[in-house]
Amino acid sequence: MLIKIRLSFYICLFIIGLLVALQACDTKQNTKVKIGILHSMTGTMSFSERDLVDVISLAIKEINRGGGLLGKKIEPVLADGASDWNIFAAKAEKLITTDKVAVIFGCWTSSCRKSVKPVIEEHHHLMFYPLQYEGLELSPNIIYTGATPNQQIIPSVHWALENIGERVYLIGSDYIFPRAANMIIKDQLKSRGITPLGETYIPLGSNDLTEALREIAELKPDVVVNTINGDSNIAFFRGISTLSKVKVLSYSIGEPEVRAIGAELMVGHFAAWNYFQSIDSDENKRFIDAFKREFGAERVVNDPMEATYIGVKLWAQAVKSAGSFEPLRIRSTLAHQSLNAPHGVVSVEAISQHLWKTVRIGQVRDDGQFDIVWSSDSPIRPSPFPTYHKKQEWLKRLRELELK
Amino acid sequence: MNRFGLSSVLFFWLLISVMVPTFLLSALYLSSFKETLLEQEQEHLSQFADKKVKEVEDYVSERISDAFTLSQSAEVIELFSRLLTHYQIDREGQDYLGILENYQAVYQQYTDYGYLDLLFITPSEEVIFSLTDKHEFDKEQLPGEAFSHGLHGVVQKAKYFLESSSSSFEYSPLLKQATAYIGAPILLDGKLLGVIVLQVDSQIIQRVTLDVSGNLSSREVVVAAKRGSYFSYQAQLKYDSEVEIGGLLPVFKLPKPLSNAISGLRGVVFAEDYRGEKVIAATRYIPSVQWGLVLKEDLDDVMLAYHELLRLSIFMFLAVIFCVLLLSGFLGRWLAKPFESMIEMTQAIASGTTKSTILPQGTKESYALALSFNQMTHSLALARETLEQQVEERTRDLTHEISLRESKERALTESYKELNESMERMQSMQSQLVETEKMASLGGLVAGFAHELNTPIGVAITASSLFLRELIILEECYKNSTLTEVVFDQYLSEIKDTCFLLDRNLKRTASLVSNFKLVAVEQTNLHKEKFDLRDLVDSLLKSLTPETKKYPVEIVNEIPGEIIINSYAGDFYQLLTNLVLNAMIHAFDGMKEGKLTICASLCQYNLVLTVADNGKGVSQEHLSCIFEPFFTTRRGSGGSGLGLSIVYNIVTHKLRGDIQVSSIPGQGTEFIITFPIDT
Repeated sequence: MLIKIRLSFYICLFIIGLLVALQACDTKQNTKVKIGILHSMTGTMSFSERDLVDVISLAIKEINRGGGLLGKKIEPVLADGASDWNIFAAKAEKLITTDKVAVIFGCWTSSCRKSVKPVIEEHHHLMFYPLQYEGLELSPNIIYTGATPNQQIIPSVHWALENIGERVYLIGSDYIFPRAANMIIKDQLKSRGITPLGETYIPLGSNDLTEALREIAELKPDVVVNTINGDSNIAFFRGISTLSKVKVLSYSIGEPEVRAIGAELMVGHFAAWNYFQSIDSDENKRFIDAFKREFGAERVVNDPMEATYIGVKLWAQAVKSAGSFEPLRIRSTLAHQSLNAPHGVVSVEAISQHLWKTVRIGQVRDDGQFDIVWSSDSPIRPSPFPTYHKKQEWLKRLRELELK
Repeated sequence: MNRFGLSSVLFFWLLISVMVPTFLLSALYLSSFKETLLEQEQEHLSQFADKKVKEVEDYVSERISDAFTLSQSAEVIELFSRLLTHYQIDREGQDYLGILENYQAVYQQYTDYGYLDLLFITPSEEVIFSLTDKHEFDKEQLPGEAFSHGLHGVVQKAKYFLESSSSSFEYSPLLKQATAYIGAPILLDGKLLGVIVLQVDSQIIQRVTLDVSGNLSSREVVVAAKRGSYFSYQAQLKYDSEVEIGGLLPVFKLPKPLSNAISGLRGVVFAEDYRGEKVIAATRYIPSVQWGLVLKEDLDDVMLAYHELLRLSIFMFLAVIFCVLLLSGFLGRWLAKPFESMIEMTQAIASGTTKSTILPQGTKESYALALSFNQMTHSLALARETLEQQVEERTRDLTHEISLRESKERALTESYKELNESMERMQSMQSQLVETEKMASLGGLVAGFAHELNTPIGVAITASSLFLRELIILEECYKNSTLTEVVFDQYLSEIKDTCFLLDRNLKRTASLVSNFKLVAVEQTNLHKEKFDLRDLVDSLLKSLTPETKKYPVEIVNEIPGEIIINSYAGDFYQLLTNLVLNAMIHAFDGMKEGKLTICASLCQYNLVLTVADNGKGVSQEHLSCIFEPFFTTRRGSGGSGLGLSIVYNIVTHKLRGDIQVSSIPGQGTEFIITFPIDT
């Protein structure tokens, strides 16, 4: 009996030893991998960009909670672009060379993206850009998770012409995005044989819109296509609210902006996005719940935040299928990745590195959310250079715009 | 305690040393094999699915580029504007129909490229050109409503997005097959002229999806598209031929892999397919046709190799266990066999037989063991023979010795009895002697006492006779009348002196008598009583004065007061009397003066009584036998030799104590008596 006990003891010891040896052979290291977040935490853009940082941290938390990537935990490195694109470029350089991040999520404005782009390309690195923009750009090192013009501007203009009216007035801030957007909008109007009633650009941050408002009141357009960015919107909508029968179609007004401007000034006006917080889907509910649980029930989400979230998730998916954090390898596996995002199915277009996205048009409700009045029944192919012109022609037109 | 047989021990050991590691290693190998198998299959499926996706996308983008090229061609734009103009003038007119017929022939070649139809559609969704007249949209019907979902979709996208696009496949009841549409906008100077649409049959997609490389028969590509809360299979199913391509089915009927694929989840899943079969499936989403693509294989099929290996290894394992069992059984028996004959032999030896031998067999060790066993039996037999002889001799010797011893014992008993008797005699003699001695000392005491009494009584007698004579003289003088005052005064003073003397001597006599009485009474007292030691010694010394004053020795009683003890006072008298007188007689022989000190102290529950003198001391040879009865140095001058023996007896027997003597010749002797007291 004693022998038996001793024997079983030895057997147990042997098995334990074997297991320990096996464990020791497992050389998987549980280290961390850094990813760069390049957004303005200070300056005028910080109001919008802080939200994106929150979303990135939420996505990272979710990934880390699910065991990380390739056995490593993700560690975010936050770089403050301070709303200054020169700083953005310098910080991007630092993130890549000093912090050795695996990927960068960043930028809001087109100017900022354009200043960071050469840095990313020089290092053959990888950046996710989450904003809808004017298109007309293609960088092999940037994944654009926001909408291209044909996923936002073009369809919404046609929808407005068919559903609101054909008398169109264009107003925008005076920088590259509104001018490029209006150039494309005018193409659409032209395709239907329409010329806009007027076109006005106001300096960024200006609150003096009396001239423009007077013109609008005089011309009585059906639709005002609004590409104003920033605080000027408050003055604009205050002015517009006095004019009945004029509907505004905006491209830079999301849920937080509605909240900031005041829903009462904006009720009944339209905005075109891929994502609205009011989308009724399980994925969206999950996303909003997770966000509110993390940052408070009073917070709202908007399209760029969702696009940021998609970006992190797509990157994680690509890392998994590449089995590596190497930016170049991830870029190759990113092509054809698809995801059931809060706003619907998205997938990466291999050639352009933009996303197939569903287009939606929302009308502002009195609670500051949007009623979705139209949506494309399927995701739309991204077309950074709309095919009705050749690429060379687009680049030529863009240069002309920049020279203005 | 249970003992295991050699076979079971061997089996157990073989099981542990061979089977456990083998089992563990093979389990490890099997699990890693399974993992690798699944991993490989997943990898393979993923790659193949990616290939499929690329094929489909290439196919679609080729169609789209066809449509785009057409839409960009000047000929088409021109034709479109002409047709549109004529159509708007008169849709039944000869001009319009003529051009239509003419160009139907021109573009007929597109049917050879795999297209079912080529359509020109106006922005208001009127078909103004078609290769066949056999399309489902009736020209009489209202625009828009007539169009199938797919066609409407591509026209809308061309109008809204100014982009070429493709639809997913849907079943056309008219053509009795699934078709899809590719649309591209036709722009003239930036103005939307209309939409050019190519209708595609499903044959090519079928071909693409049916081509499944790989050696597993269950591999299948399933594609489906979702529209609202319905979905449709886009290619023929391998195991369900009844399913219609493009036919709408409710979304809840989607099997899990396909549902994953359609909702954009990219990856590999283990789930049930549309048959309810467990499959491993790579899921992909193809945005250009809004397809979910699933490349799947039956899990059973994939795991076939693993299951075969598993079966084989279980069989091998059982076989090896059986072999081990058999081997250990045989080995155990073979090893145990030599021991069996040895056991038999040892049992035989134990029961007395020494003639058996073993046939050496088995291993080298057991062979050697058997040989030495045989040697042992041989020497045992030899030893047994000689042993019997030796035992007989020894028994004889022993019997002799025993009888000798018995006689010796008897003699011893007798002498012992004699010894006892003489001892008794001795003891009675000793007690007689002690009594005699006691009487003798009492006699001496009485004699001394009488002598003592004699002096005061003699003085008293002398004084009384003097007194009488004086009285007579006084009487004569009084009668003679010669009594003068002077004579009477002298006379009175004489009488007074005489009376003093008389009084003093009679008092002294009385005191002597009372002391003696005390001593006599207490010497006979056999009961314990409480007394003060100091007082006792005092009265003793007084009663001994007649004896002691013969010697020039000062006796000092240094016993502190208030030592009250409960003991036999008579014994103390006798003890101290003997010690004191002994010292007087022996210690100060020939000395002019001396000192004897008696002191005592209490030490816990013991009393230590010391009698010390500063006499000439006792020599070492005498000291050792000082307490022996009848030992004396003055046999000739009347010593009995019993004094200190009595002291010794009293201390050791009656007081249950201890007496010790120490002496330095020329300086003195000290007796220390220690005994427990009962206060």
